[in-house]
Amino acid sequence: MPNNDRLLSIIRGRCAEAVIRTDDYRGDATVVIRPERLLEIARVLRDDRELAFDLLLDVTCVDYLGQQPRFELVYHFYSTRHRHRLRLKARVPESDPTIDSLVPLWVGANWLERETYDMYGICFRGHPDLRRIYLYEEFEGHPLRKDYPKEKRQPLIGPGSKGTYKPRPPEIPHAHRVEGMLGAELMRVQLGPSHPATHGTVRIVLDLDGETIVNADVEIGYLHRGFEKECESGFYYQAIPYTDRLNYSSAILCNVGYCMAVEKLFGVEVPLRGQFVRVIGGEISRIADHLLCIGATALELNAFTPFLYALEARELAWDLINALCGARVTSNFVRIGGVSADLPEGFAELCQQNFKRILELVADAEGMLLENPVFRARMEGVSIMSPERLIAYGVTGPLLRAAGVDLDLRRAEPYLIYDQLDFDVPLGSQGDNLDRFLVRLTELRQSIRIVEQCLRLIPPGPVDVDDPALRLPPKGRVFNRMEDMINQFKLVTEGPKPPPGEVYFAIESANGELGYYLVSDGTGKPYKCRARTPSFSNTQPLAEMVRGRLLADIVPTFDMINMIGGECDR
Amino acid sequence: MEMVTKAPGSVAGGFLARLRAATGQPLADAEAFGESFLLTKLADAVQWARKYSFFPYPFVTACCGMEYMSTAGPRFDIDRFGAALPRFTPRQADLLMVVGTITHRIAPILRRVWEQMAEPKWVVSFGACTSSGGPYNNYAVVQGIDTIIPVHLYIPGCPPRPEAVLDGLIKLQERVQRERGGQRIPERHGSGRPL
Amino acid sequence: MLTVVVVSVIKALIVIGMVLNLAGILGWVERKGSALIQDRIGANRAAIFGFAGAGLVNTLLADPIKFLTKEDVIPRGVDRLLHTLAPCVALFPAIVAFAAVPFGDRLRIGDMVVNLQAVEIDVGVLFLLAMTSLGVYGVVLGGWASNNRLSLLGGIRGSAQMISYELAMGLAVVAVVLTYGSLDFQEIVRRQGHMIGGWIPAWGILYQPLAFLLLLIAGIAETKRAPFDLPEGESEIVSGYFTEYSGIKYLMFFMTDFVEIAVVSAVVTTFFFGGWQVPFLASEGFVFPWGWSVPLPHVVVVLLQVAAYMVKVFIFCCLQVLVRWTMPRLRYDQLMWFGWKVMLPLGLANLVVTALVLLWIQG
Repeated sequence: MPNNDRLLSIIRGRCAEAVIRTDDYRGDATVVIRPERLLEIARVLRDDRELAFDLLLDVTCVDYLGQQPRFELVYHFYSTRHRHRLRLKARVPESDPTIDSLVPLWVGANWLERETYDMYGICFRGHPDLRRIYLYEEFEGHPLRKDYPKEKRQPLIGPGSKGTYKPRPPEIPHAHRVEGMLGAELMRVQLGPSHPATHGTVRIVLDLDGETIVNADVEIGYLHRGFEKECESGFYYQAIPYTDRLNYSSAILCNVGYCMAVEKLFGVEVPLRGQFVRVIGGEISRIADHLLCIGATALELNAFTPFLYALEARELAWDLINALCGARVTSNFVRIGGVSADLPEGFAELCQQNFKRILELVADAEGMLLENPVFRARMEGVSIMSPERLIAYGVTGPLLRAAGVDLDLRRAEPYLIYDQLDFDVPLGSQGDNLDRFLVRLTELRQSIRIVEQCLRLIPPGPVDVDDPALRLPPKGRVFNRMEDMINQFKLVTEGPKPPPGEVYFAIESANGELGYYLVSDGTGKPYKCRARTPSFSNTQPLAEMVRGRLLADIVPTFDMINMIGGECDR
Repeated sequence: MEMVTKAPGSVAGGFLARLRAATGQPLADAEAFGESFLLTKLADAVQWARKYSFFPYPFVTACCGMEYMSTAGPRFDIDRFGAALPRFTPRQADLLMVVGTITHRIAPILRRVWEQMAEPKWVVSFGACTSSGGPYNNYAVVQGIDTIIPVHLYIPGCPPRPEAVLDGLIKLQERVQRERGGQRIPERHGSGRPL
Repeated sequence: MLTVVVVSVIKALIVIGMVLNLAGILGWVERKGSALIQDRIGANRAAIFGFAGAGLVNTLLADPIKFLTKEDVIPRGVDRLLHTLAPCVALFPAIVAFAAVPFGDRLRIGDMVVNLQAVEIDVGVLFLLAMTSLGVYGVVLGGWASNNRLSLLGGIRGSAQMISYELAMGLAVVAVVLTYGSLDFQEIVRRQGHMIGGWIPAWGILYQPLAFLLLLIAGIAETKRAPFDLPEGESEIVSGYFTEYSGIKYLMFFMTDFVEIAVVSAVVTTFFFGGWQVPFLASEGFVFPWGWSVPLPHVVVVLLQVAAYMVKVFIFCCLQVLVRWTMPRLRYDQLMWFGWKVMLPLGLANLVVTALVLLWIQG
């Protein structure tokens, strides 16, 4: 891309001596720097007017076992003003895996660096709170290092445990205040991980002064199930079911993102009809996701009836997904180089029929909620955070749009066929929970509009790329032709082999930017398969959002963040 | 005695006719008039009540939770079987539904919740992850919750469809009815030995 | 003397039977009603001889038997006495409060006159207020004795809420008492017997519409049901003050809810909807303003009145169930704001206006 050249030359000009080399592979601008200069360069990236990388999307690491230096830290940046991206890489040796922390510049780096510390054992100089985030303190070693065996377990209880596990009392590092009003003692309460409001995978430790939250600490990681390790141990196509289980309430979107990242690695593009089918599947998933979010918010504010209306509407959306691929939740629909099946017969009519009913149900639920003064009072003006602060936390998606920032990747960097479609991107003004709710509600209706357009515009033709290196040949040919049989055999046993290189590709998932960072070493298995998931970054500001508010405000705030355990804990 | 689960809507002859038939029939033919409980022992009556009054504790962690919600939703409506009211405090729950992947980190919490539940209690392993680890076989995931707590019912699927959940629930109800006089059917550990 | 005792015992049994049955049926109404509202079927599988009663059997038989045979857990570090006492303290006043509310007129059997009211006290209104304020102890004790921070929060929320809304409730009741000039429920009901202009029953709602709203809202708040169910706010503090209760003790808390609904409905009916009065039904039978009359025997009249009372109470119970399933929950500060800054001033204003109007009429 031409503007990548300009971008890279600006960076080379600003800090020439810190940059080792730059490259531009498949449209991804990459800068490799000296690790000791990280903080300085990062400051330039953030503050320079022409660069303005205000969003730190991801921090991760790649373990090049056997090379020197061994660990390569990878940072992904995005500029909401200029809409450009940058990858920054720095290598640190195994003997001293230390690098400066970016928390002083982006507060959102906090959890990302904790995760890198947890998974790879990289130490971040100047990090305020370098604890494990996914695993427990008793865990020895760093599981994503290439020399950590995938199946080496360290259970706390049960078979194979040391039998010494003792639950620790809940702690809040960096307490904001230690006394309540008039010097009263604070009450420490923990919500979760098994608590109705925390969806089973988060623990929120609170210090309460009466009902007011004085200190809060959000602990995630109770659903960390080794997404990256599992993906790295299988072929490229074997990772697709794991992506289903990232954001299980909109599985097809996660499939689409992953498959498109792999296709970017291969440098292929899916035929037009395939792109339409992907958009249709993805948007139906988005509808289901938003319905769940809206319903769950109602449920946890004790409005059980609208929840069930939303649930029934989601059921209807799932009927469509069921018609597409035969599964309801974990669809495993998209394939590298296409989709698993074309649209079924009569799909357009089914869509029409179900959308009508979904809109009716949503209107009912909306009426019960938005016209209810109690619901409005619970949502309005609660947990407001400024757009700048949200961006510093790395928040994307409906949460950021509710604060008035126009960032929708379907618009900002149109992928698939989104540039040919007519849809609106709803923006909020206040950035409170009500705005977040309304943004989701409007997006849901826009998604229905998108699907209806797609069904009208969809051209005939194949849905898969015609590339024997990627897609399995049709069954009829496998049984009758020797070449196709060999091809099938090779594809299944060795997997498609992309050229060596690395790519980052992001789509707008239901919760925000869902990006995949893939590193290929030329074999059939990904050397590194990293998912930049929106829930992880979106959950991070929760503690700050609820501080100083009442206990009950956690509930709508947490629900509007829409933390999905699989996506947050990977 | 094996209870016959009667198809819905097969109430023939009305209540009084059934009552008359019941009093005229010997005990052995109890199956002939469905789930009559007056003729069985008190213990059976208690088990009957228990099986229709499962208050589930949904230990929901992951994807399976989506289908758990659907099961409670209007279309599948688990309330028909009397298992509607989820209690989020283990003290008031009868049925621990372990829904979704259990990692090593959350395992102690699961066990604690199970310990806190009041007797009699049953455990349902909902989905592949809880039954065996499912698609996850790595450093983080428990390979089946039956290595931590006893399980009465495994519902397969990743995630199981609501139909499968309801089928599982009916099977559990049949099993609870057989546990007569408070005698619990001994649990089997994952490795085959009783807990 | 013996007959008096026997009659009293019978009346007490009737009332307690009425309350407990009503509570059970309300449990069913809540369950089936929510199913109806939510487009579901609801419980229908548990059946005796094929009779499921649309979930009635499930709610009235299966659930209570299950609870009765469930283990009663007393957690470690708990004050055993208080822990056991709390559900009793919660349930008892709610049932007793019902005793003061008349469910029918005087029944004459031969030369014996039975006042259809379990306890004939001429300060029934005060008795009721006293009993309802006792209910708060169950919540506080339960929350305190459970040795659980979430329970404690629930207990504190409950006490603050119940005391705050008791004020508004008291003020509404005082306005009603001023209007009728009596503290006796039976007397208040009798005063609602005549017809205004021969057509409109002179029910309390016509004289005190604001007090009716205040009392109903405060009543729902006193029963701790949505939108005022903060003490048990499930998504915040799990089950609030009864988090640590299981088995029969939990059942008692569970039932307290429904008994309290019944009490609120009974009080609202008695104050504002003519209690056992049936429009156009005098002691000899129906007398319609257009001149028709249907003479009825005394027993039938009394039975009709009792039935009318039951129907009215049931309608208000259903109304509360409907509210429960359509309203989200308030937040603590909103609850307090509503109680102290809306309900209380309105109650005071209503009282002052009532007093002034009475002065003007009488003076």
